[in-house]
Amino acid sequence: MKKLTALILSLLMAMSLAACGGSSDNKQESTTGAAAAEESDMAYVKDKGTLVVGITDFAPMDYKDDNGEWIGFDADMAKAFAESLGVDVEFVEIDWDNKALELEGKTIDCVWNGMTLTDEVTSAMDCSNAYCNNAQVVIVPADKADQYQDVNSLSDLTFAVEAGSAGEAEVKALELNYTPVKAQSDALMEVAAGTSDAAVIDSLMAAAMVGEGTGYTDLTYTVGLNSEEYGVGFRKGSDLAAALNDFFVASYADGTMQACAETYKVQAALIEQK
Amino acid sequence: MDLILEQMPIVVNALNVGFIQTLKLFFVTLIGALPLGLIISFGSMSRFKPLSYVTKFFVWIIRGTPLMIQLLIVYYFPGLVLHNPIWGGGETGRFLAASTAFVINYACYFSEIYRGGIQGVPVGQEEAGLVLGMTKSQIFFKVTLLQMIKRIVPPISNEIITLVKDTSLARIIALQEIIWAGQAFMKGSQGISGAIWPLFFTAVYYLIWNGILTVLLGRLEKKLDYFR
Amino acid sequence: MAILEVEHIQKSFDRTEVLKDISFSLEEGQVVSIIGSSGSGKTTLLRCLNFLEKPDKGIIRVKGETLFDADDPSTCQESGIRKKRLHFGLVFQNFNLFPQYTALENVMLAKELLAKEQPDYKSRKKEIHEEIESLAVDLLTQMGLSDRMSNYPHQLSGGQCQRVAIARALALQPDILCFDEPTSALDPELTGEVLKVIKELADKKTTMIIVTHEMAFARDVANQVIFMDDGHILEQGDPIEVMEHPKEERTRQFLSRFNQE
Repeated sequence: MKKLTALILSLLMAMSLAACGGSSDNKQESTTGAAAAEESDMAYVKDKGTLVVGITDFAPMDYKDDNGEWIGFDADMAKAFAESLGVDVEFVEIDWDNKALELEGKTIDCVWNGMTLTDEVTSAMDCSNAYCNNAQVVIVPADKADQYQDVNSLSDLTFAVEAGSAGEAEVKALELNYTPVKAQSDALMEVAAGTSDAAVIDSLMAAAMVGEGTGYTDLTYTVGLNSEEYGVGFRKGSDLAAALNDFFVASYADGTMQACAETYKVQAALIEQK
Repeated sequence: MDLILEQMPIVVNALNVGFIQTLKLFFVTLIGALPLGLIISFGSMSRFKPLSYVTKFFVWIIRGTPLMIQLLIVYYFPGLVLHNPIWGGGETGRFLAASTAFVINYACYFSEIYRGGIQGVPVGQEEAGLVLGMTKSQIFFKVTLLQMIKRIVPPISNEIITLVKDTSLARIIALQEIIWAGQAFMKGSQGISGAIWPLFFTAVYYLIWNGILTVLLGRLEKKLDYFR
Repeated sequence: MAILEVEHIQKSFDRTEVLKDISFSLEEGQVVSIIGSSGSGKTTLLRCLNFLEKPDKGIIRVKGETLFDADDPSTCQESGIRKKRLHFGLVFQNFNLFPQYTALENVMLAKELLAKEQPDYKSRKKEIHEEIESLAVDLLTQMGLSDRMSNYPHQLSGGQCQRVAIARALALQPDILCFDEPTSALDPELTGEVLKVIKELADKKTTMIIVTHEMAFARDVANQVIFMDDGHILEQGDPIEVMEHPKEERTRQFLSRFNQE
């Protein structure tokens, strides 16, 4: 599925490159004229008056309150950023596999959804500075947790990980046996159903979804693999990434960013913006 | 079990919203594709060869490629290649793009069924009408049309049942139909996370809806059973 | 004057010449049987008379009116064909009844559609409908189908279907009624009932052209027999004359094959 999408993406990209190639002569003739004609991403967003934010339902970063309103640390920050630009904000749920496709196809303007800054992400998008720390953690059934407390104990297990996720990169690096699945939640289901021994998911998600008072009471998380950072993704060449960095610095300086983080209990993971 | 009962009202509400999206896509596709398919079938049966070749080529492309890819192309192509995201990022745009892809895809399948239906009516029926002094349009409406409908009802019914299930493909462009709504509870939504059963529960919706359709289409088929 | 005059009809499909210079005439109230082996052009001739095929050459005249003349473009236009067809009726080998209509509706349909073109149709709607219905009932009764009128074709035997088809053709009161091998698609035990009604029509002086392989019937019912071979009329004349004392060798061969059976 993921590969298919990637194939289409690259096909469409190739076509769009070909389309660009056709007009490249004009650009070389007068660089300034071309730059003026091709408006900046910021101008494009201001022009249409809406910042379209691509998200998935991902507590505590982006999720719906009882009134169906999108809230969360990311959602609230996105609202504030849009306000600073003087535009409305629109949250659109996307298929996570297609995030780069959505950006390049201009159906969304940014991906702001607790996105780990992997090589795959940073090569496909222009990203903001990192604003949150996160770790990949190993999920195992609670009754077996004491057997798997360090990295060396994991070698016999079969893993389920989200295809293309930071977790997949980790298990690959450790040369563990794994099955790629469509979403982090699918990886959890694999463990719950016993079809995989363990899963690797975000620690923020693990805190929300595993253990007492959640849907997966029989699961728990043990070893923390490499830590990682969250950032916001924009279209390649977009000037919005720089604008967001400035906005992050300003909101960190006046304390609004920390306040927002506390609301959603992610303040411990927040990265200083300067 | 208690947990499921507790979650039930929230889940059912969300699934209902998703299912309405599924039904909307289903009906829009039928309303668009049933007549468009007839036009395409006339195109492919045209005696004007270039039109017939072009139509058949188009039908070959649409039937020969996965609907999922057609959805991706219809939705992302305008923004990626033409730099003009005509559909926009909102739910309405995604629905319109999905409807467009579905209507075109199903119209092509329907067109082949229509073609079979029209060509399957014996030529003697038209000749009998002609020697009785009937006009071509009288022959079509009074003689061949009903026989054609009788022939196409079973294969069209099959396609309609398939369409109900195919609507789930639209979530590739993030149209939030019922399976999307069911999956949301696995990742976590509205305070419920890690719930697997809503995804499987969506099957009940499909089953009931297809059950209703099967009965209705069966009745139509039976209604046409009085002649052979 | 002859009711039907056919002169020098010629018809080719692609490069195959199917009819080569066919001429014959028919008096009102008479019956002509056309015999000959398969592929000799009999069916094509009937289809030409009913304007299902367009002859390449020749003239078709009914009651002195030229319906078709290949050399006169004004007689070859599509627009007039519908009215011209009404001079002829055609009973098909495979009946071609309309399956979605009852026997009665099959007989009435074309007549009803034609009636709608009458100027006084709207004011006399009910009356016209009743006239047509009683005509159709009469015809089906005459065909011995008074108890089968509300049956659909698939509920009838082949012989019954063919009798409905005959009634359907008669409902439009054609000048000339054509039969294209009316019993060939029937089981042998059912041919008799169809031949019987055709015989009755002949007795009532219905002008008919019958293409058939039933040799005895062809001889008994006809005033005139035409033997066709390879697109030509090889022999025509009095039935006894042609069938018992044929002049041509080909006719003799053809007939002897049937006599052996």
